[in-house]
Amino acid sequence: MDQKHVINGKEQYKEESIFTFPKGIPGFEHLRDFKLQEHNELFSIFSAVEEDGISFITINPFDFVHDYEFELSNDALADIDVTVREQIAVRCIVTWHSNRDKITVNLIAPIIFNTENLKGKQIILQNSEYTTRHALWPDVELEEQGGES
Amino acid sequence: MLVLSRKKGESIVIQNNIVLTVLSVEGDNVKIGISAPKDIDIYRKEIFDAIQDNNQSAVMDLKTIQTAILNMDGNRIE
Repeated sequence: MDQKHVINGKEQYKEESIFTFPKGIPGFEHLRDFKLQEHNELFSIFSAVEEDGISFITINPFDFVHDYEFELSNDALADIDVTVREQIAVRCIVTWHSNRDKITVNLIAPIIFNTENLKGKQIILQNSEYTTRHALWPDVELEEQGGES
Repeated sequence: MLVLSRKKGESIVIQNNIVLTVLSVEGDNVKIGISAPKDIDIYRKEIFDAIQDNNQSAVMDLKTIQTAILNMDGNRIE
């Protein structure tokens, strides 16, 4: 029972998998292997296998930004050998802050995972309105930030 | 830095398989067409720099992450 189902049950991956990033990620081009690990229903932890100190808090953007959308170019799909949509999982990197209102998420550079061959790539959306620092929690304070979404 | 002058419609070849073509020049604005192998990523530099910076400022160590998320959970659950 270690399968997680998110986004209409379409996204499937093990709770902890190691993905290869053929080109690393921007700013950490020397790293290749990253572990994606579910933390709870909202957050997952994305960490470099080779270097202990390099971890990121990530979210599934569709959990937070309900109208989030982007187009994956064929080149990006080819880079991680995606052939069908069901192989794709998406995470976005969160920049943490002790003040929760200042926590942001990078929506312009989602990380795309091929859950079948365990390859990944952080892509940068071209001609996109999204930014690297989108507020994670919208200004209107939600009463119950419970597990249901 | 290598500096080359090109007219509209002229191209530059890099490493046999990357071709940059000046498509149009209007005032300060130059339109450049790029054809390159699929595995070459092409980005506007300022956006790529912003992503690098953002990743570098988002990086944490595992212990800090665990503490941070635990605090958040605590706040959420009340």
